[in-house]
Amino acid sequence: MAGYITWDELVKMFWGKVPLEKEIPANILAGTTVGLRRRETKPEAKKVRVTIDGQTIEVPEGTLIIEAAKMLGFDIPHFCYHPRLEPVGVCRQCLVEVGMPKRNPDGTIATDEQGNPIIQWMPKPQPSCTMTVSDGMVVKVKSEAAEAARRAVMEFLLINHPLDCPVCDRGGECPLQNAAFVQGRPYSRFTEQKRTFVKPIEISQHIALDRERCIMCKRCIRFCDEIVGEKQLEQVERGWHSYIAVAEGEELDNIFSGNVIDICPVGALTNLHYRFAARPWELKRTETVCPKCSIHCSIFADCRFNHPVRFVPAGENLKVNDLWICDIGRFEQKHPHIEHRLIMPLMRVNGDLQEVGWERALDTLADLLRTSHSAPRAEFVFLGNAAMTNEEAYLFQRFARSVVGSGNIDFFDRDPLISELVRQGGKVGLGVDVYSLQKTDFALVLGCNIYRHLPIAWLWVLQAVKKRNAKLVVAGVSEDKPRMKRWAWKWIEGLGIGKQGLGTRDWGLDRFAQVLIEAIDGEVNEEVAKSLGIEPSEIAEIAQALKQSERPVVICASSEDPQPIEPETVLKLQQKLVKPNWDAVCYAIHHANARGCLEAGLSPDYLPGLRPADDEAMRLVLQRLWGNGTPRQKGYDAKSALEAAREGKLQFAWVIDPSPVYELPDNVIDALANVPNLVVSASVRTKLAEKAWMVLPDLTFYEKNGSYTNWAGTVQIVRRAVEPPSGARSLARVLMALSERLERPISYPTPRAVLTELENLMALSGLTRR
Amino acid sequence: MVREILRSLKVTLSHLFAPKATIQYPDEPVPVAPRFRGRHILRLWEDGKERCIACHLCSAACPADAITVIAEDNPRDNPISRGERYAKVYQIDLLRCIFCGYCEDACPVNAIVLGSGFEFSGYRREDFIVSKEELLEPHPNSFVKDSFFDSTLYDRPYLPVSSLADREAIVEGRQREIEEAVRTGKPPIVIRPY
Repeated sequence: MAGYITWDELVKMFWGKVPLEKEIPANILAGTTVGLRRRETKPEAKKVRVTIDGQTIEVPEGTLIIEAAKMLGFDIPHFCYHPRLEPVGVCRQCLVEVGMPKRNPDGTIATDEQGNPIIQWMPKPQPSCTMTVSDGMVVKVKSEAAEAARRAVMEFLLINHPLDCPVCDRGGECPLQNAAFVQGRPYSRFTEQKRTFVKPIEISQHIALDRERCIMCKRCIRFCDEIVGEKQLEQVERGWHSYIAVAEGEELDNIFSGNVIDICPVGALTNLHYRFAARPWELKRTETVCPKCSIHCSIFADCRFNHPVRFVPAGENLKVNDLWICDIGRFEQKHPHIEHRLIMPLMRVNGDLQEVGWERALDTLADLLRTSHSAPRAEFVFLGNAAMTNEEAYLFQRFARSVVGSGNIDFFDRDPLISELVRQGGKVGLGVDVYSLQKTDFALVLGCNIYRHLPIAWLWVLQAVKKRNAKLVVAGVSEDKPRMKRWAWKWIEGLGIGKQGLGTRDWGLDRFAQVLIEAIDGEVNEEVAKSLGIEPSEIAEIAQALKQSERPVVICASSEDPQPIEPETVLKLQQKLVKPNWDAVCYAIHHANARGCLEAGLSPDYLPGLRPADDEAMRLVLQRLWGNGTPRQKGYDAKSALEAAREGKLQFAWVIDPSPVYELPDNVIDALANVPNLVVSASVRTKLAEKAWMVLPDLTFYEKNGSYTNWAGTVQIVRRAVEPPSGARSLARVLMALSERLERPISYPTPRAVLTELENLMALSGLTRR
Repeated sequence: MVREILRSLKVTLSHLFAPKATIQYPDEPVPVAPRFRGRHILRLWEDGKERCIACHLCSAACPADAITVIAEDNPRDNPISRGERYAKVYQIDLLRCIFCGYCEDACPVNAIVLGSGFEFSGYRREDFIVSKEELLEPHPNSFVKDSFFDSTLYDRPYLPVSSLADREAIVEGRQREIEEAVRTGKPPIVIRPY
């Protein structure tokens, strides 16, 4: 019985199947019964009483029968109804019997001899997803006639549905399968030929369409139209011949396209990256957040063989992303191959990186750091990254400040403009939930392509535009023009650098913002407007709308964007436009946990809680808390540290590699290669690790426990989805072990303890978090 | 007294010339019962394609977690199974297997059956992990003869792909049995319908 495959080989084969260097997949469970439709009910909405199967409930007028039934705990099967989409009533699966009380000619309710109202039943069952309740309505959900009608509909739906559940990726989490088990016939009476199509066809690079399985509920069409605002799917042909197809002249390439996989109630739309990778019952599901941008959508990381195989939205998150995630978070996440993982610390011996034990590596590192007490501290630099959790960032800066006594602490991709804004007294990010962006009535996007970089923020702004007629002004964005322009009230472009008479710091977009600020309370500077190529009347119109707006949103380009806005301008905007209950004027933050790292004190200018590094009160608090003083003087930031490294001034640098969440640019790696004692914490042998003097095996994002703070300050928990390889140690563990060797021990039992301490410090500084 | 001795001798002599019950086991094969559950066999269709479509239902049904399946897209130009997918990896740990036959029950295409083989030996645990190639029955056109794959031994009646009328009759028959049991108070005789 030779020729078996070992567990390791098995795991490798499986991983080989998932395209690691490209994208990793996603999909969602059912998606049918997530909460109720969030429609706005006016406070003065009338309450009506409805009786469903003998139970009476009072609901606001305009509620659908299916929602009222759900409130009472009846689960009426449905396919085309979705709580976030407009009802259409095409699948007929939610039929119920509906009756109204008989009225006398004078309008009073007719009663029988016992005093009970006489009910007049509608002659045929009615779809409960399109009919709203009215006062005195009586509904039968479990009556014989209603159940017979639903069974008949189910039989019709299954006529053309192939019996391929065992090979279907949806099998096991399929609403149609569940409904068929509950109320379908045990066998089919249909003996004719089933309708067939060529299958599967790839309708985009991520999604496969199986038209045989489709039951024409049109959820995917409606999602693209109603939520994303791009009509990219349509129904072709009529009757039994109809099928879903990509609209003519269009491509299914919107950034939320992956969500149609989740909302499909059958296996018609499936994820090409997850194709046959696992069956749903084999997946180990962990709720965590997505690290791809600073929105931090709640996602489920579904793992098989200890490897994430797909990412799907984690139910309702009514502070951030509700039910949707973007394709970047769904399809473009990477997790390193086990073969490439570092499981032992590496140290450079005779020019080569060689594996050494943890004890030896830590002892060597501790010996080196001990000399920091005598050596000039400027030579010791600690560089984190924006993908670190709050806890790691806090511990890292505490280690640098109190154990080593170095103020040279920073993280890559810290936005210098945001730090400057904070110094001047501005606010870091959004002051309201990301989800609340859809309450806005005026949105101004200055130079940041939020469609691509902050997709969920775009989604909520778009909902405001579509549903509340909010005005959208987009200025200085050149990419994704056709997608954004059709929703924009004003689209302003051509504010390039190099306009005549503009200085280096005084570029077009910034000047546009300044003219706008002046125009809110005063006159439009016609000379500047003309030099920007904009009609003064247009600026006046925008300024007028901005002034009248009660909940304005202004998203400004930060230093990651081609044309950033100056902090002074943003500060002026914040002073003008922040209302008592509405604070949504800020810089866009692109990298994962940049806000959390900044607030945790991972910067040379700020202590935890965004207090300046020379703030005596906070230094005193930290001295009491940590037992050691913190350096008063500001040290190197990332930029100046890289310059110093290039000139060969640095003796020691400890760098945390952000790979695989994002990659460091080559010029950074080249600069750091000049540091003689370069310690790199990395999960795989990255380019930077190859240049290092010592490499410490780190955990990847999906192996960490901790928390992330998003753009709006919402703190969410990051949970371990994948068990790390035995040789890799978390940064916290490494720092604690080192601090013990340096006789200034740091000790926290759990990440939660670190977060609590950080939150206490923030509260002390007057910063609140959600 | 002589009569008693003769009577006992008659018993002795009748056994002396009766057919022998002893089987010279390693030299002679032991006949197994027709529904014996031995080593697994992955069956093929008549055209030589694999029946298994890698639906993972056997591994889901397995109470000992002995079966591992990894599915892959069926190559369009040279299909391995008749479905959209096929088993790239299919292996069973015979040391974990408890030979309960649930995999056989779960299989929607009757691909996995429990055969008559029971003679396993090996020096290492790994020797008992059998791969798909070892489990597959020989191609219908090949001349390989192997007692493991003796079709007369394992080709016992499966769940028949019965007509609609048959199934209704089974269901109705069960219903009548249950009604009878309720009426008389005696439990119905449990007969597997296949």
